[in-house]
Amino acid sequence: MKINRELMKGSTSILILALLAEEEMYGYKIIQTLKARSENIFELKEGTLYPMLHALENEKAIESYWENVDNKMRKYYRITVGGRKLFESKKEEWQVYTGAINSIIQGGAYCHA
Amino acid sequence: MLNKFLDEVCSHIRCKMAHNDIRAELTAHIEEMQSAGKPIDEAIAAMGDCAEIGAKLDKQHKPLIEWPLIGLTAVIVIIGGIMAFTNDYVMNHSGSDFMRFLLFAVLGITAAAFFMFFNYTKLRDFTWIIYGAVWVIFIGSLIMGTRGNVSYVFLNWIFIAIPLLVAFAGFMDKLRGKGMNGLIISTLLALVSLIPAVLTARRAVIFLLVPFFIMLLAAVYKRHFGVNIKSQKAFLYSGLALTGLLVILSVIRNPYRFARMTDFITNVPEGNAWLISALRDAISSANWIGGADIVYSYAPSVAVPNLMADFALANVIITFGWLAGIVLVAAIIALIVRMFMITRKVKHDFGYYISLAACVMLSMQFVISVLMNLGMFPFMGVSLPFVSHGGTGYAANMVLVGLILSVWRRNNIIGKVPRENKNIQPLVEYADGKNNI
Repeated sequence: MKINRELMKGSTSILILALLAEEEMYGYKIIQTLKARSENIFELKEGTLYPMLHALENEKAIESYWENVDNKMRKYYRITVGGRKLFESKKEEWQVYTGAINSIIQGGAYCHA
Repeated sequence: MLNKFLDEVCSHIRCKMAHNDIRAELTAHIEEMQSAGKPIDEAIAAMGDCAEIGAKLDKQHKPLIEWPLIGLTAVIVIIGGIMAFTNDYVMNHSGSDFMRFLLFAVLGITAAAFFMFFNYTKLRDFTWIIYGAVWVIFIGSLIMGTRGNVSYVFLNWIFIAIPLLVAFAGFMDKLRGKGMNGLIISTLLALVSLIPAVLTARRAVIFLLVPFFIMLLAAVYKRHFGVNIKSQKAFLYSGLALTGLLVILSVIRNPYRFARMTDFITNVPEGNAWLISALRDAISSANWIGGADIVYSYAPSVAVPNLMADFALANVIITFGWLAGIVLVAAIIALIVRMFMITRKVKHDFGYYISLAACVMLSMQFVISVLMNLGMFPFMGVSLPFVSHGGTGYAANMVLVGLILSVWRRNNIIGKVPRENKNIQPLVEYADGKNNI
């Protein structure tokens, strides 16, 4: 199923932060991991990823460093302490938001609260 | 083909300094796709529209202009201007304070603007040259001139302090990850750098010692030298304790210095204290709004000498009342807070240390001058930055603001230097090598 681009827009940064909270990654790997984990639903475009990474870096949520792995230069990103805090608050916001959406679109019968 | 794509993307990114890093990153990405089996043309096509990615990256790499800091500096400069104008044309004191103000303000703003647009990262390559130049000037003036000339050079201690601190930031940058040795070498360098000041301008010592110490402390807490920060902290704090002990000893052994330091507490009109008591008299007669009564009986410059230079805040309070003084102090506090706030966010190590040193130097002058003006600190000839236009220190302080603005301006632009030292090839070489695809 194809996901509407507009729907994905607001949640891309939280996905990137979630992946980087687990391990340090370079751009290409972020795209691949996202694709594999979401079973091909999230196909992040390079044109979206890199500006987003640079924006997160400007916010000091993540930081980057170059490393030579198997004779390949890779620009790795890792999450900062501030980035983890940002991720936690975004996560909470997301859960409240999706919870509210679900309770409405699924109707009262499915509401388990 | 790859180059054409990169050129196209970069043509949308106005900031040229960001180009190398972005080119290297996108190249690395395309190579990953190639090693996963995609032909180069498909890999490039998969990257998407050049104009779109370029425009989005451009947004993230815009030079930053710190308007709040510029605004606060302007407020303080303007208060100084009004003060000078009032002194000359309203109070009719014989003097040319306002002309001096205009001259120094124009010079200072030009200097600040020059340094703001100047790419400070270039200074890192000249660390040794800058450091050497300070010593050449120092030794040269020792040989060439009399002691009087030497102290003339070092009278404006801030002019020596700025290149010394910039060079020190450069050395710290070079010693990244060197562990305890890095810290010890940095500390020794800092101590050696104090020699010219110790020999010629004692007053400058504290204005170097404190920034050096805070830079080292920040470096240790940032894990700049390496991971084992416990022993590094112990080293720094025991150094601080030792310095404190030495200061106390020297003060006790030297009664004159001791007396000078306690003058402001005892308030006895003897020695230097008459200055302080004249200042207190003048300030205590100040009104909330409007000029102090004392001003009309005799000129404030008679009551308190160096009114425009060393006692700028007192002058504002005496001439315009406490409210104006509070506005000025509030602007100063806001400026200090803002400077440190943006410095904390600086990503580049070299820039961070320069910005930190500039913040500490400016804040020290502000705090000492304000306390001295309120009679709460021993008298030392420190003028209020951006208000006192008594001398060349005015332009030097503008240079400091210019440096902070310069560092901030490039904060989102400069690619981070490779952190891990192992297995790192120079970035440029790598980019060149891959250009031949």
